[in-house]
Amino acid sequence: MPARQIAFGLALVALAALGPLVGSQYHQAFLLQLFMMVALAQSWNLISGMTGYVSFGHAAFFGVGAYAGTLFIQSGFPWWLAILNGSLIALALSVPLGFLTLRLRGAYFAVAMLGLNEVARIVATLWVSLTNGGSGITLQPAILPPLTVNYYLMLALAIVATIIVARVYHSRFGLELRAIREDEGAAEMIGVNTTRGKLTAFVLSALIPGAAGTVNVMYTSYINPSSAFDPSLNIQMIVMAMFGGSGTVWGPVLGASIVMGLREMLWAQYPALHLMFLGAMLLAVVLFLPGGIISLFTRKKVVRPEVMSTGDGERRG
Amino acid sequence: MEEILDPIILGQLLIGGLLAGALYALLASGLNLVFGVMRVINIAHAEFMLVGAFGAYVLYTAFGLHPLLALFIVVPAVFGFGWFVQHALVERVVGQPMLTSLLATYGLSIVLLNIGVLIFTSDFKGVPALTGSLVFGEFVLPKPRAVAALVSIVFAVGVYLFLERTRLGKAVRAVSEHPHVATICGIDTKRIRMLTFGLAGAMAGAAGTMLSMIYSFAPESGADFIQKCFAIIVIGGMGNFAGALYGGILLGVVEAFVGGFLSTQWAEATAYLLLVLVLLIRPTGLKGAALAR
Amino acid sequence: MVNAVADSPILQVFDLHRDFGGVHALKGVDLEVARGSITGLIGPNGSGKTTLFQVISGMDPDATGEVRFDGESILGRKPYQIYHRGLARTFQLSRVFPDLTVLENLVVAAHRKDKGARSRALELLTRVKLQDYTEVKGSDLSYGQQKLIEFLRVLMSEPSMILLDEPAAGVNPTLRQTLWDMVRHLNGLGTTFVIIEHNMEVIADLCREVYVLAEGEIIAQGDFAKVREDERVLEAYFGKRKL
Repeated sequence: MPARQIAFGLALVALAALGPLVGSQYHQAFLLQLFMMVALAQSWNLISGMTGYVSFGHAAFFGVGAYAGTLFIQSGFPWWLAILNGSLIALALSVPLGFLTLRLRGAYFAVAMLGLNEVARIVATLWVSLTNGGSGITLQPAILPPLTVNYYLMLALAIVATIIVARVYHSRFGLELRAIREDEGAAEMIGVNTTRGKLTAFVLSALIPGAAGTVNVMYTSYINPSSAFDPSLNIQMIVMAMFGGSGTVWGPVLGASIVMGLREMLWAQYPALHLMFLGAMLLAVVLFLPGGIISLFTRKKVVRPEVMSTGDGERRG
Repeated sequence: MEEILDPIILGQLLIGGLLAGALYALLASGLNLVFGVMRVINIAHAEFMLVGAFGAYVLYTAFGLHPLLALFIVVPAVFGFGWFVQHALVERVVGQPMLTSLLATYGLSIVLLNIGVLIFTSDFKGVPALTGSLVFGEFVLPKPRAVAALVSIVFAVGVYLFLERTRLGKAVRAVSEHPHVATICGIDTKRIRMLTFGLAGAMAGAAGTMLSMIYSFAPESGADFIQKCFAIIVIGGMGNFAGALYGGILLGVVEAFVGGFLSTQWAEATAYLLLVLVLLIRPTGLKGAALAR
Repeated sequence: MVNAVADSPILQVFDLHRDFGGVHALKGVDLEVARGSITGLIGPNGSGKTTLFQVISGMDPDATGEVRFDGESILGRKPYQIYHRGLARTFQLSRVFPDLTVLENLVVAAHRKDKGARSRALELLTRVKLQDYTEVKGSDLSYGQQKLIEFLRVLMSEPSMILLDEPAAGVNPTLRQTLWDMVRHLNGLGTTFVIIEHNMEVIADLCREVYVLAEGEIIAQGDFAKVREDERVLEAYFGKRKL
């Protein structure tokens, strides 16, 4: 990873770490949400941005992790173990699901993921003995860490998610994932084990949302099926990753910051309008700026050497 | 348990399932038609259906127009809307990676859904234009469901015959099966795609108009239906028009039995469980048709 | 690799069949490629040449029969497994990764544990005078350059055998010459080639052995000079006209 980017990342982290020292509760709460969205958008980026397989149901990992963590805390386990548990349960869900859908080409994965969140919500509602159904579970604030701790935990998740994406992006594995995104058949033909690649990326992408779900419950101290499996969470993470620039390291960070900022300033009070704008933004980005905002900064001039040293003067096919 | 295995109850569940299945079949075959022709999964398909349902609702509450008559206004209108959406949006993503078209139609579905909320709020609506039941011996058919199923079948079969018998329909199938050959043969593929999307919209619009008579619905109701559609097209084979018809009927019946034996809430999850089951056993669909590549 | 004796055939195909819903694309194809040879595969359009490549390379898993590479059965293996065993192929229409740079396009095709991938990529690019293009995206290359990059890409794994599907189609004469020179050079170092090509001068020039495929069947094989006189070949392929 280029040194300039590392320096930039460290500066961001230092700035974020100062938050609780200088900001009010309101600012902390806002930043905590922002970190959560960065963590989620990066996770989505890991599977969808890198491989081109669109996940419309990543919120399900968030929700499943949230429940797993909540139940652990409720049973008296320490919160760090609960976070770990949330992460592992999300992982445990992703393995069979990925195996089922990712060995196939095409839209099967998208189709299976789109319904996952809703089914998970139904199961959580019906499995009353475990989840207390629609009434949800309230955790006693006394056993939960204070806001500042949750703040740093969420920040840590955002950082870890970004580091995972950066490591993958600059690795041989990441190169293989991008080849899958560009042309899966050709990738397989030059030795890429595409099924294993996709599955690994998918499982990795489920870890962080599971943990983030738990931390979010530690912050709000309440969970029910609709808050855990909120479909608008899917829309948000997708729009943020796409708007910033999917398949890049910094795109989702940029996208989450811009979209969260807009939300806070302009349309927090109008949920329907807010979602409509998110949908329109997604459409606009997909149609007119597929590389996202970040491509405006990183787009290099096409470096085509002046002289066609190979004497190639044909039209491009 | 004995009570539930009563042949009358089983028969009643079967009838209910077939009636619901006919509507699903109409809806899902439109989705599959689009997928077959341009390899685009229209995630906004259920929102097209709701455009039809709210259209029928407005015509009924404002002018007292019966949904069966509203069909003559709603269906052409949604056809036009589909044509326009293809022209303005979807045409730009045809032939691009699947990620692009999926995200574009996903964005469209969110926009339509929330415009719906802004206009109609999230409250449930219904069009109680038709009431009463037909009684055949021991079996009871609620009139609105029977009519909805009948209209759905007529529509689906009509489109099927159009594709099989007419010159234009054959052109649509040619584009679906051999796009390059179709271009060489002088078929205006862009026009065919707009026709296809319009046709799929019209089918969704018809399904929505029928839906308005039998279910209560809100702008958010699309999520359930698109999930059912996905299960159906995976069961029937992606891109296979007739496969979606069978798949729709099958899902309707299975749902009815799950609802009858377990609970209606589990019935909502049935589509997804069927989808997973099919992916487990026979990923290319029970009809073994065209696999998405 | 019990059978991998120097003079045993590197590739053997027995009784290969492939049906596409009633259309018989391959009807019992038998084929043998000598180690270290350049073998031509010719035949009219739609005769099944590309299908044969698809099956041999593992891209099309639904064929029946037997394919042996280096003495081992490979039918039913995944494409990436076949590739890592040393059998590579290129596509008829260029399939470079459009958003990856030229260098990335090459490096991704090397074996995973290959530490020298980057330097070999640079070496290959230099050999075809594309060394200034390392950071150019695949989609920004001309079509001919894309085809050449695709060829270089499979060389990254140092395969013992390469299937080339019309590698020179759509490539200008200069690049074409570069390509055939590379093929000759690599063949001199021991790499085996099977080439689908429509230019009969190239076939006559390069190939020791030629197979003629028509409607899914091998209708002739052997020395090109002999094959071109074959009555059945003339009839099926050349429409009774001489070359």
